[in-house]
Amino acid sequence: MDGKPKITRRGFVAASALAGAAAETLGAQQAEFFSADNAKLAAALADTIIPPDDEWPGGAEAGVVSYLEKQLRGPLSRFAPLYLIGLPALDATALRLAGKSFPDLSPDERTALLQQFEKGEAEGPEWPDFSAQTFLARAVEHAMQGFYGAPHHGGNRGGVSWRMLGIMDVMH
Amino acid sequence: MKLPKTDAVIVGAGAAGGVVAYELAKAGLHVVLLERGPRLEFSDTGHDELRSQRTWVLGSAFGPDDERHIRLIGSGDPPVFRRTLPSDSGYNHVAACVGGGTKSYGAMAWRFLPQDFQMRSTYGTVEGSTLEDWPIRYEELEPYYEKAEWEIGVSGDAGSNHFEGPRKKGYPTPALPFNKEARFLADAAKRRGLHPFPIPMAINSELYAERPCCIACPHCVGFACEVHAKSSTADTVIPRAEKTGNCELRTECVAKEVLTDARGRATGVAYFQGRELIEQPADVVIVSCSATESPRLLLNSKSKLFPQGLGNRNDWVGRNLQGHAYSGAAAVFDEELFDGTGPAARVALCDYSHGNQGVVGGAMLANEFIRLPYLFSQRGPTPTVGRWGAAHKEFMRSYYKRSAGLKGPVQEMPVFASRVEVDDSLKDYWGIPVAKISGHRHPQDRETGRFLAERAAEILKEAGGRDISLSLPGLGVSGGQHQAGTCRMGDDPKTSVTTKHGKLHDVDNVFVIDGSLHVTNGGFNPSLTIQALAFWCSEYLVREWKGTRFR
Ligand SMILES: Cc1cc2nc3c(=O)[nH]c(=O)nc-3n(C[C@H](O)[C@H](O)[C@H](O)COP(=O)(O)OP(=O)(O)OC[C@H]3O[C@@H](n4cnc5c(N)ncnc54)[C@H](O)[C@@H]3O)c2cc1C
Ligand code: SF4
Repeated sequence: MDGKPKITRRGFVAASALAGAAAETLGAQQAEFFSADNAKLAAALADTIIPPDDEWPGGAEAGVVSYLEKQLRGPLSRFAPLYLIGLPALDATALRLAGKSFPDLSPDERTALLQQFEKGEAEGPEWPDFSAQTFLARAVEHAMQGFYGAPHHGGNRGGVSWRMLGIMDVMH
Repeated sequence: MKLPKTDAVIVGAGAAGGVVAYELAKAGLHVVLLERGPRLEFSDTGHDELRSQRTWVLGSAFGPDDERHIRLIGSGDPPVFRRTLPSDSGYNHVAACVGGGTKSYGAMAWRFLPQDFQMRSTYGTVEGSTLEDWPIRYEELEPYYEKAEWEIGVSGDAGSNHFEGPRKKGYPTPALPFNKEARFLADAAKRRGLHPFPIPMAINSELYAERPCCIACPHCVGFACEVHAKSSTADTVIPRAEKTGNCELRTECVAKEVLTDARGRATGVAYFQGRELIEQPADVVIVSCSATESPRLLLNSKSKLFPQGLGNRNDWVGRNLQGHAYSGAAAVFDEELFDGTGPAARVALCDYSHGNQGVVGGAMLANEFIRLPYLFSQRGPTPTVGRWGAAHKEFMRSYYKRSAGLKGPVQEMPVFASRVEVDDSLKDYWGIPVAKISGHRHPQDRETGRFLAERAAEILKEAGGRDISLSLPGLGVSGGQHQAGTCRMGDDPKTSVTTKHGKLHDVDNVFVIDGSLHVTNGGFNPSLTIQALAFWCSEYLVREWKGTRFR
């Protein structure tokens, strides 16, 4: 990734070396694309689409947000409005349907909410330009790209998903 | 700028254009080969799934690029057109580089079956379809298939496909060995009384024609071959054409139109190099731009004599756009089948290509190319777990190496309304009206697809597969990476665009030679047939040239 790592308010996440690197890179690019609030929402969304488990990190720690940071200013720039409008709309929908800000919901509550998105049961005034369902469908594709694609695109930190699949040796 | 005249100008250095360049240059014609894309080195594209020609979400490494290309893709009836970029799904491209599709293809190298050339005679008329026989038979094309196999370099096991038409000669190199998955599926198919065999591949199984043998890397379909074992025209016929001293390849040259004179003969091609418009006069023009770009070029070549575009007197240019209605099934297994070796697609059967009760045509069924992780996450066999969440992640982790599928390129019924047009209201970077694609598949394709998917599921079940999911074709816009059919060859100028040798019925010195010629597209990946036809058409062209028909 380009840009110098900076110590940010998210630096406290640095419990492990991996998470630390994730947060620093995120911080360095925050000013350029995602606001602090949007970065927090994008991380919570990534961790709901690809949740962390005992063995393997979730989407956020694996670099899905830094993938978006990089690609939304590059080849995926046409999706920039989708996130700039969609992330706050996601939060507002969480407030309307679950009574809390999206990142403050428990993982199970976030999953339940996104299932409503998927079924088309979350539409409302927050989504005037595109549907909540469309937003989720694109976000899922992009999260999978960030998690399973090549690390040089900003995600899949250290090839973590390839290690999870047991194919690190064949993927170079 | 107007350049000195040459004998022949070929537009498009892809699967077909490369062959034509070689044949013409070898026969002594001076050839200019125009290609809109660059000559790519392996390091230009590398192994990057998200930029491969299979999953181009961050752009196609093999082109075309998002910055300069756009199309209008219509869906619905009447169609609603949407501006579509190459990296959007549905743009419908093959590639834009020297070698065209063959630079990054999967390299399955199929001969169509004899029935594939006589679909109308075999199945009768199909309502709502322009199903027709080819103007040539398998037997006529057979020597040119042989030529293609030996010039391109195909590995295979002659005689192992029980259903293949007669062949005079074997393959230049033996079949690549089965991988674990292929052995497993072949055994299951045999237990069901079917006839599995190794897929013929344009991949060297041993050193051949100065190219090395395949090292079984996991990146094959969608990528260039690091060791050049996979046969691209960029590595075979195009350098051979250049070696004759008669062929000049000009890259990053985008043809704008075929120029004609007041007598209705072509005088050459106008093309852009950068922003500069250049005129290349020639005695004969060959259009080999693929089944969407060839009709686009003809339709953009308008003049007083040809107000509807070149060769389009009867409104057949751009019609009958076909691809393949891919269908099949996937399953998970207890056993680990993934062994990390490419190309992975190794076993096929043709038991369901024809003679299927209640449907028209069919397809060859084959196991799949290696599905890299992102593609697997999107199109893996995930019937029950959904597309995201903890269950999806767990599924990826447990079954990435324990899954297999069988799929087939179901032969489509050609539809007249499935078409490529041009649209003056939207221009590309060079100011050329863009391709506008619309129409739909024939409902029969879905029936045939379902039939094939069910047969694939039976084999997977026999092999011990669980959680079997069927994939069925949609009935939307056709085309795609196996695009064909838009400049149909035929004997009757009222219902076809070219003669059986690819010459426009309307113009004496313009040929279309590429996938556009296909009357029907077989139940197989099309490139070897495209190349066999290119040898067939080139031979005619050279013969006519020597008779000075074009000068
Ligand atoms: C990922 C992938 C996998 C595939 N796998 C297989 C397989 O396993 N087996 C198989 O048989 N087939 C396969 N195919 C399909 C095969 O590659 C195509 O059928 C074949 O390349 C089509 O040949 P063509 O000559 O019609 O067009 P192309 O090969 O597409 O060549 C057309 C050329 O014309 C150029 N061109 C277009 N317009 C212009 C213009 N205006 N000016 C200058 N140049 C122009 C293009 O850039 C291109 O290089 C695959 C394709 C892809 C992309
Ligand atoms: S599998 Fe073989 S032919 Fe295909 S890209 Fe790898 S080395 Fe080349």
